[in-house]
Amino acid sequence: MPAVSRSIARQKLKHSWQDFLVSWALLPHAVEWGTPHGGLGRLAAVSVLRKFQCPFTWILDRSDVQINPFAWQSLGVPLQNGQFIYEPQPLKTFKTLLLECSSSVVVFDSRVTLRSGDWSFIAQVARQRKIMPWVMRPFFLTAQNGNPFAKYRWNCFYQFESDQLRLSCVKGAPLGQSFYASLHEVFDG
Amino acid sequence: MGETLSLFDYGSSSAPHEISFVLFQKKTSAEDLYYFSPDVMQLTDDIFAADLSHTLSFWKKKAQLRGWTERDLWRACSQSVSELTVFCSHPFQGLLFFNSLSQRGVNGCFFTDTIFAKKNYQHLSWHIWLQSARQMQACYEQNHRLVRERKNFSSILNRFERFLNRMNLAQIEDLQSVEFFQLQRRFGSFFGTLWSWTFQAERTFLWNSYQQNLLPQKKTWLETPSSHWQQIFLDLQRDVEVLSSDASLQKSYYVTGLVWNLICYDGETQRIEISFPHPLNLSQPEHQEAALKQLSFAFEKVGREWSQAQKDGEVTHLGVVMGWELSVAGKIQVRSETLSLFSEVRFEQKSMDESIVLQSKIQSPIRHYASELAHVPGLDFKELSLNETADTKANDKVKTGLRPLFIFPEPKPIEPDEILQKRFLERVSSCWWQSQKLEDQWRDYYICQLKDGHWVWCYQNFSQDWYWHGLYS
Repeated sequence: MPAVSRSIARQKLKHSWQDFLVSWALLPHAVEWGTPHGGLGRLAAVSVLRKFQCPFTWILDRSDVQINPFAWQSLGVPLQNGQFIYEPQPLKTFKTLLLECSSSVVVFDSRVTLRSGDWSFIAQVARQRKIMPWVMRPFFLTAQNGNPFAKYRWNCFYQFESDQLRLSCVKGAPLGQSFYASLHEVFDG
Repeated sequence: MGETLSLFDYGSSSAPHEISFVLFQKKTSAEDLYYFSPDVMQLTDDIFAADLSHTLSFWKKKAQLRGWTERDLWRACSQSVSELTVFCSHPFQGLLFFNSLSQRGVNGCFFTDTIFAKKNYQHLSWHIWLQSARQMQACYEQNHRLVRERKNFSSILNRFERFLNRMNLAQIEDLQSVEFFQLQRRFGSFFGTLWSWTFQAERTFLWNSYQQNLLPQKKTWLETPSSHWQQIFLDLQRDVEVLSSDASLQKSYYVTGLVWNLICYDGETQRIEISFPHPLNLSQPEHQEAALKQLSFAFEKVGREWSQAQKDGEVTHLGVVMGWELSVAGKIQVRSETLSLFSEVRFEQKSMDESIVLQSKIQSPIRHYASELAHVPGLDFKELSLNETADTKANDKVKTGLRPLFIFPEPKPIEPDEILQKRFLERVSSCWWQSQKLEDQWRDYYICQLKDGHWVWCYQNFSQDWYWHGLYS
């Protein structure tokens, strides 16, 4: 493909933050999100939760940090919708919550390796119980190591130079499709 | 951080001490003792103390259903338990207050942290103190505790009484300023201990549990020794059902924990104590399931310890279980009149039961938060218990600078040369007009990129020191 056409094609794949939010719906599918700690990617995830305005449970495997509820609230997430669990070995808890809890979204924020059996369970329970398991990974996802059980796979990170959050699709939308959002946009919706 | 962050002091928001004991009089049957908690201590022939720390969350949840505080609920429920009930943060202080009220012939439910109780405590007579001290002496004597410390205590008390008469001291506040070790040196260590309990807020008390009778237990030998949960599950499930059908757990008894003695292949016994996050009514299938889940967590933990010990060559039984003895560790009675308090809120009762069962099925606590109308980072939220509802006004969306989703429990000092680049976000100040040191009252918050590439939330205080307070995840 000539260089000019490639540039035009890339332009077509660039979308705004509003486009990104519109494209999200609360569906019973597993979602995987690559966002290293210290990269601001979870801000975008929390903004999506703000859009859903549904009960959610967030499981975190780190014990050195705690939730800053004021920040969640200032992002527009009602705190009464959220419940949080700090669990050093979170996989079992995650599975129990998928089966038992009444939240519509269960976020698994952990570096624990999920095997294909685990993913199969997650995808199956999501369909059966009509909930959305959202797996946050503290590293970037690649298309080389695919995941047939996750409907959507995204990477999210912050670019200081442009003061923008960048979301790039690994699976579920056209590969390489990217959304850009300023922190101001993410914060104010 | 000392004085410089006086208004950002993280210790200042916590309550000094909580009510964690209740003193009451035994009425008729022994089962009445286990109304507030399964952990009870006999202080005198008819005065008992219950340790509420095991069941505090249970009472809080029960109260929240009604829109009450746990104190309202205790007040309502204690009428049927004892004519005089004292809720306190320390059993000896509770006993002093209890004796003072009994002497006046006062009945009712009292809390030692109320203004009435504090005033009463200030003017407490030495007569009451000496009476309570003799009761504690008799209590420990009966249980053969603190034998060396209590030596000649009766004569010491008589000597002390003569000293009080000689000095014409009537109230305990007259000696409040005297250091406890000075009294201890003169009147012995048990006296010093009692004196320190009189004014101390810390939870230091020699507890002597009054054993519950008739707690059911079940012993099982496996047909095939096993180390796998799946293979022991069915036998264990049957045992839990057997325990739940025991006559002593009928009516409205909630189990607070189990003791599981595993008998290993080499004949050694491994004792596992399981304390439930909330008391469970084993007659209900969902609660049985939750109990089994707790047993599975305990078994998994022991399995990990065994495999580690095996690597170190400390065990020989290879984690193989031959059988076990499962027993109820404690129970509390939830009376029909307490249950009737919740008849109007049947729907909430259901959701509470669900949350209790869910909490019992996972290992770590489920946390809920609400923000508070304070703009000092780290102090602008509080943790709620499971069914507590947040103040809606405080939970409206508020405009602030870009704050991180995760913060550290306490800020960590950071070297400025660790910071690669930064951008100013906001200046946070507190009630500067109330302070004489204006420079103490502000922090400048920045979003900073560290050398390792992480974006973090840092602040600089007036003395130009840098602290790392949160993580932009």
